[in-house]
Amino acid sequence: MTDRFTGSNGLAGTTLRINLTTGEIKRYPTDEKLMREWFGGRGVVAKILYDEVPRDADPLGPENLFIISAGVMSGCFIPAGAKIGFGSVSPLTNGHGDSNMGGHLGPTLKFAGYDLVIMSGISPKPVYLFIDDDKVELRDASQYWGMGSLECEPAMKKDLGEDFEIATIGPAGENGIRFSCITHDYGRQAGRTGQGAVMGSKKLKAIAVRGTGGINVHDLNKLTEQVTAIIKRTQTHPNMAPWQKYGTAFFIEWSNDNAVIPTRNFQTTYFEDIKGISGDALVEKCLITHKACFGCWMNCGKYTKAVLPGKETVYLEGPEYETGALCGSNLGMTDINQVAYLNWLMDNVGMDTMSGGGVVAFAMECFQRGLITTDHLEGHTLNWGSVEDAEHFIDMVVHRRGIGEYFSGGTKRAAEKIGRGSEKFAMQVKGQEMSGYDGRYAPGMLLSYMTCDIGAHHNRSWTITVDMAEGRDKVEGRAKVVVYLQHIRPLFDCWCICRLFWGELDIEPEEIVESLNHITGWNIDAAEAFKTSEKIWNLVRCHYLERNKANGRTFDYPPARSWEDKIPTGPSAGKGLTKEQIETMLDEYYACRGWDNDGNPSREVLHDLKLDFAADNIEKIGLLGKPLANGIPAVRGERYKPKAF
Amino acid sequence: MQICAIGHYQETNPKKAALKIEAHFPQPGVYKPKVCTQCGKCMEICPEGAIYRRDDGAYIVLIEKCTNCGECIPVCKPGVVFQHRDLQHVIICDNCFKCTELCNTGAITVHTRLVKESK
Repeated sequence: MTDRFTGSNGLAGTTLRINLTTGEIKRYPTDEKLMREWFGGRGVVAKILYDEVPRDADPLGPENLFIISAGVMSGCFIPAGAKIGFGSVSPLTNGHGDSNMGGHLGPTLKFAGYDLVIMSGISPKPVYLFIDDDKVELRDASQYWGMGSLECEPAMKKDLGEDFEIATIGPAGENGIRFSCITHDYGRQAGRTGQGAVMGSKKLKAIAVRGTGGINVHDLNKLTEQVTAIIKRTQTHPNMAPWQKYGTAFFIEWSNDNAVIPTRNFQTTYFEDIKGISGDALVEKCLITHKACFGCWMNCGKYTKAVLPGKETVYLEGPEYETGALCGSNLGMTDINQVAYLNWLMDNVGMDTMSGGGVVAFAMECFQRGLITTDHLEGHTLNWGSVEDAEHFIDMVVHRRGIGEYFSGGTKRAAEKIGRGSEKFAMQVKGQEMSGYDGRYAPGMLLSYMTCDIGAHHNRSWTITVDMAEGRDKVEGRAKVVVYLQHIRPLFDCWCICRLFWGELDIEPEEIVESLNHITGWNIDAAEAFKTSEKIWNLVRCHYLERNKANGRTFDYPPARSWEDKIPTGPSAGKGLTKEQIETMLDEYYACRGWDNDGNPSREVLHDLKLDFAADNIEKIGLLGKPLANGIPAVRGERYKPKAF
Repeated sequence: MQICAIGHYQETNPKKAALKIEAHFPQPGVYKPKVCTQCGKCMEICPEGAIYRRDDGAYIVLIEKCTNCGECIPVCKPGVVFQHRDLQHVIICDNCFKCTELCNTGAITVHTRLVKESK
């Protein structure tokens, strides 16, 4: 073996730096201090992007980095320790971007010996990154360029061997569609923030990894003992059975019953044909087998087929909840096979089904309102519930034909081009499309979208059950819970473990940190974990301010539909938020974070988080928050134990 | 797979596990766990006499005798005799049953009839 640095304490040991322009590949021992201070995964990605990408760098240009981070806990006999993180400055939001996915790639990268892969430049020709333990090469990918993601993976496995783990982009990523995703294991996606577009801009078609080494952990006996106990205990948890049977599609009917499911581009929150796209419909009509990521028996993945008249039967993983909502009710699709087909289509072309669903829905509403017509659509219509219309429109977007070019940058950019009031129903924040919950009668969820550090996204603080439990008419007090969730949930993305397993089975944060300590030997407590997560959150905020150069508050508003339109139908008919309530939530949120009322972090809070360098940087551009009259809260966020759904 | 490697090599490394799960995707979309059926072909072919049958039916590799020649690999019908680059001997399931103890879905269980017959 050559140049393999022996890792310890959960780390594989080696960091790769690859210049795609020159083809140079360099190996370094993984910086343990950096991993300790920034927790690996999303945290270390945030720090490297902040330090190394010039503030005026084009996200799709050579100066942007594309970083792969496998995290400190993945692959270490930890339940659902299967995640891998990707990061770059987002072409969708123009801020820090990160996204992660499950499957087998993350652990395998560590088994091959690598914690981090940092790529810069642009390759002169299409390449893929080939890693076979010590052998690391950039290989010609011309034979794969142009292939759909779901076609490319088996083609590469046929060429390289079944035991390679493959992640690819599709034509959307190759063509710079700003909400492109990365696909792995026939249906696991890093979908958000356009990481696939960054790969495409760098002419990096795929990553192929085989790893046969092991990972050293700090105390294997204690870890094994603790994990075995968790496995046995969680087996009978009441949440386990629905996750195993339906995956997240379980929530489709739940969301409809609670009137939060986005319907026809968030026009209403109740879908009359929900039975046709429900978890039961998925299991009864489409399911082939349950599918799991590395080290997880929750098997939330549903491997399925979509059968539609006149179309070839297609195989896919999903639809899970977000796709079911955003490509289902949000497009007016009434049959689970329609949703599954669109899921497959977007997976294969390589676009995020969440942003993709949001973009198609926005275009459909534009068509409904006459803002775009058949003249713009090559003679086609774009009607709710039509797979054919959606498929044709997606093809226009992926290949940037005609008006498809407008939508290639997401709903925000499309609305800026289309104008005529369409900004009001471009359902995004900071350029990223909303997830599958309508926040008009779920104020915490709306605040989560508004303040999410990567643009609208549910995963950072899934507040929907808090809204149900604490009252949906009340906005006061919701901010402190959102802040708490924004600290705990991104920790999973740092450590590269799945929050579904660790977050939904009543496993306390202290127990997770105990596992972390058994793996790393860091000997930290939950309070330190939360504070590090807060540090990452604030650094990402500063990065966003430095790139976009305006008060943070100006970026934190949802589209005007969120307060101008009351919900028209269903159990929540007549409900909605006022602009004043939205302002109140923002005021409370900023105060809770120790930011000023313009949404800019104060020096006091940044100093407390050891981010003085970031305070200096935002001060230089006039965006350092004013000192808070009563000082910053000693602890930001209030611990909240979610109630059963 | 992980508990197998931890139990035998104190390492989180599924490539050292005596259990493999084949994933057949994109079609037909099935998983096939590969486990030792205790047919004994590996012992029969071993030129070094490095594999013996224990009372409980398990075929045990004598590490000090095994030369890692690999003769036992192609004769193994279920394909569960492995080599690993770090090891100088083959890996065969030794009936430790750590996998069955841990498996939460009931996909891997001890087949008592086989164990009894082999005694």
